[in-house]
Amino acid sequence: MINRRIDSHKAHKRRRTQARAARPAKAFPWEESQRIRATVLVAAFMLAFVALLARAVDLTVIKHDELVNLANQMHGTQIKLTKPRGEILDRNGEPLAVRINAETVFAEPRRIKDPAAAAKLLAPVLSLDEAKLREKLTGQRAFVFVKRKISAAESAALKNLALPEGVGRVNESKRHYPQGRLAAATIGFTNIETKGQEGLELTYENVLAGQSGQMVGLRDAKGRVFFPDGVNVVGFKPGGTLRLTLDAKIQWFAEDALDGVVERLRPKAAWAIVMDVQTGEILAIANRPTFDPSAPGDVPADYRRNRAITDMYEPGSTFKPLTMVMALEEGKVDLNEHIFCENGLYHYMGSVIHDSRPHGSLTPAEIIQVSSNIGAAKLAQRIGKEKMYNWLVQFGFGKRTGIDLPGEAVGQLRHYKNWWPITTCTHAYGHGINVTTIQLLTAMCALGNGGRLMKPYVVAETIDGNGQVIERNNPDIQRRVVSLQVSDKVMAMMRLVTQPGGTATQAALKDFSVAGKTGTAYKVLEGIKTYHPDKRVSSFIGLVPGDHPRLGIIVVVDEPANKAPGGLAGAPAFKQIAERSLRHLNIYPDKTDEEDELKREIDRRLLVRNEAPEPAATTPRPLTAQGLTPNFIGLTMRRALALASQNDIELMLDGSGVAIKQLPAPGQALPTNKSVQVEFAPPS
Amino acid sequence: MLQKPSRRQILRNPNRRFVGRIDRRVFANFDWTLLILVALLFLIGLLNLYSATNDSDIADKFQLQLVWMVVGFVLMCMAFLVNYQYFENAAYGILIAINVMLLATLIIGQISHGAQRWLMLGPVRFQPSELAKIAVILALAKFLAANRTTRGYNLKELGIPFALAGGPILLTMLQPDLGTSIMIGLIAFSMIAFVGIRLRTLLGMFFSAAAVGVFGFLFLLHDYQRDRIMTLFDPSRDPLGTGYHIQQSKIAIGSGQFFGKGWLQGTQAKLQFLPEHHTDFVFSVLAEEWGFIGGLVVLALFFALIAWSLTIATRSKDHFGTLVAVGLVAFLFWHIFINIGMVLGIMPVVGVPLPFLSYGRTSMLTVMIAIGLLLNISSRRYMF
Repeated sequence: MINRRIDSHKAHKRRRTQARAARPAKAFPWEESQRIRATVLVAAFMLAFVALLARAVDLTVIKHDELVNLANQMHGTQIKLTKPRGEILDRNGEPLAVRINAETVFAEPRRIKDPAAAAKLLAPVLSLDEAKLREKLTGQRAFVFVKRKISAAESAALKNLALPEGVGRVNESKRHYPQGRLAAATIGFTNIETKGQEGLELTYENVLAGQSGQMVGLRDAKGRVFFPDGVNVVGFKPGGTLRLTLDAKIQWFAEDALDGVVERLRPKAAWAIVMDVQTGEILAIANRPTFDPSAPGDVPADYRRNRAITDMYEPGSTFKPLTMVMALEEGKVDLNEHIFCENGLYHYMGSVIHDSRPHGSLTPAEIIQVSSNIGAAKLAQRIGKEKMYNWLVQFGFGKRTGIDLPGEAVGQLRHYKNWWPITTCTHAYGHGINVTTIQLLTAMCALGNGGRLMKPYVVAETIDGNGQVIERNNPDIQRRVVSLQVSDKVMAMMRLVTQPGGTATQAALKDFSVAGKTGTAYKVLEGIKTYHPDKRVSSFIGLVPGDHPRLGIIVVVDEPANKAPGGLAGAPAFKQIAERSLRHLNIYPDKTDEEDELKREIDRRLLVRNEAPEPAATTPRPLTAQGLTPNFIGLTMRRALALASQNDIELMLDGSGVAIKQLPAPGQALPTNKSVQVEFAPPS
Repeated sequence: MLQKPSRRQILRNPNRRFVGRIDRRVFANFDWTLLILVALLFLIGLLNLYSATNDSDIADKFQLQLVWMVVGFVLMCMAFLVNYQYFENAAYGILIAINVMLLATLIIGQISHGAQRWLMLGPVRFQPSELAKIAVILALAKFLAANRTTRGYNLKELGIPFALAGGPILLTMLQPDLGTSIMIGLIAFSMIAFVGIRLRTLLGMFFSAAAVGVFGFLFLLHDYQRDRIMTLFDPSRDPLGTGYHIQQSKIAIGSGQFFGKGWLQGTQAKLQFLPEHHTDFVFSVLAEEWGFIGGLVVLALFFALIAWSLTIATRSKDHFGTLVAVGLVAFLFWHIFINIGMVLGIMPVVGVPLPFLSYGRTSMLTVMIAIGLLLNISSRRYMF
């Protein structure tokens, strides 16, 4: 049956073909054109599809960037909240910078039905301007902050209000400095997003900053932000903690002492560093002027500088112990020798070196004790400029100490090939070289710890958000710069400074010896290469206890009133810091120590003056031959007077500043009444 | 045998004893190519719809689409198994029934989205305007197959075809459903053009249509329809208003780039930026997630389907089959072209679903019936 059907089908097909062949036009008049039509149609359809494809390429490839941007603008929204910033603690865990929670009030103006009512409700509670708030809440914006980080009182008041639709609250974190201005310049501060802007907050941004939480909402096609599951903060990860080497107590002692300095001397600025002599840990860095890290914008940027790190100055006489180290290490001086100090006025290579008081011949210890520039200069001449330069490099001058604080200055140490002949001498007493306070203290501490130059550091540990220590800083010995023998000797000399007869008796402590050195450097006038007659930087650097130092303390006073020298400006502040710090650290005087006895013995020997009469050749001579007028030109009034008294001359002074004219002229015969007229003018 | 084939067909058919029952040769000549193409498109459509409706308040649409697909499959089988010669006989009757339904829709239909498009048939709600497309194809094919001419139709001869298509066009326009109305018009025009129109008549029609178009644009169209046409020429005219659909769609496609964001990774549609993203704008979801490559694949499949359907038309054993196939090709082509063109921003936003991909009950059923008819014609090409 199947066969038959197929047969019949084939037969039919055959019949049909035959029939069509017989009368093709009539049976299917347009059969031939049918295929052509179909082909044309296929071509037309293909063209249409190609058009679609071309458009698709246009959108996906050519206009793609533009459209992607548009898409990103429209997607779900994330409102960034401040980062849960980690804490900064002092060495004992005392918080210096903490995170506190604060509520932030936000609004979705599109959802607020009655902006005026909402503004009226919120403005008084949040102490905002009602008109401004109303303006903020009106309109089609999707999201605005009403007030960020409101106070606890405002939070409490807000809780009692029924917030209108479209107004919400979310927790944010806020930076708080529980110690106020303490160590402000070191710690730094953050902006409203709690991103570090200066100080440690800046340097350790990636440790302190946590994962910023985000308020995740959806934004629908109309641009409304909505929070389907309530206000949801995701991605919150607490930041790491910094544990500093700073000691909040010692920091406070330093700040308090500086306040005293400011009170007494009204300087342009003052700063102090307390360093652990043995380890290089910084225990305190205080600056005046300072600022409130909660409101850093209230003062000029100038006030926020960490001057102890960022400012360089000429160290003056505080440099002399280092010169002494060089001379001793190089074997250029004998402890018992007498060095003639030219009675306070020393002509060398066309320049003049003065001492504040005229001295005859001094032992090396006395040079330090009375701070003789001429003595130091003579030692420097023996060392020679090349060796001196190498020593200065060894001590770390002209190079950053590498302390972990931002903005450290390099200082300025010229290569010895560029030195003037006098430079060797001036470097000997800390002029013509620019150092930072931290450089000087680090170098000086090497004398107190047996000769090791430490790398100063402020951060003891960085701890991540889970309490795991990321990095722990350990004392880092840069190199050994001084031998123990030499450092002991120089320390002994420095101890003399604070004892009767020294320049800084005010720095002496009751129970401890203090190895220190004063410094009073004239400030360089900008533009012209000369020193300002009145402006100076007075400083005191000291190591306590003097016989086995624990603390290295430096106090620098920039432009103190009354031109107070280092012994008057820095020493009292040093004493205050040292006394309190030693007590705080439970360091007791240990007078029975055998080693101390030995050191005292050394001191005694150094103190003993050679009673032998001074040789005639080194008899102190007045600077000018008897009966001739000395040269006063270029001297400050004080120095002119010193020179005059030395020569028993009566000065008639006129004007102020430096001497520009004198009558009689230098080298002329002195008048019989021994009176010389000197005219002074401010240096131009 | 309630509906008899025409006498001539019965006489011609040597297997007349088997007419009315399913001939086994239908399966022997079954058009697997068409079925595979369609299956692929449906598969892509379902994957895409899953992504488009995933994670939102319209997630149930995916399950519903599956239900419609099963129902549609049954309808497809029916449209395939019943010899299409029965449809030829019943063509005018079907058209009359559809016109009645459309009229009923206008009177007792459900109002939704500002238009009266839905008719309740017992518990089932459906759009008669969608079925009207098939009805018009059948009726026109019957008329044009019976009244062939080699020199093309002139205006007078086009009277009856116009009347056949005109009823549903007018009735759907009144709903108002501009998209479906234009669609029926385009299908009808395509079929007549395939048969042949005299050049003079064509030009006359073109100009009068242009005149009617301008008149209609100015006085007859609803404001929202006018806006849609205006924004075609400048979609950024009102990015938050009428141009919004197009703008959003373009953004979605553009942000998909060349390789797309990946399945379920699209964002524009998910966050409801893209309105109607599961129905009329479903292609932009596809383009966003699968990129240009995905769009290309789908377009290629569509093109293959259309080209194959035209082959079916040319291979058909009779004029009616040819013309029904051509009508169905026109049906598919215009839907695809206008929908994707709209999504890509080169066609006005008229509510035209994308076959196989869009969610839509009646649309799904209509497409299934159309595929069933194509299978029907293709598989019976050797049967006489």
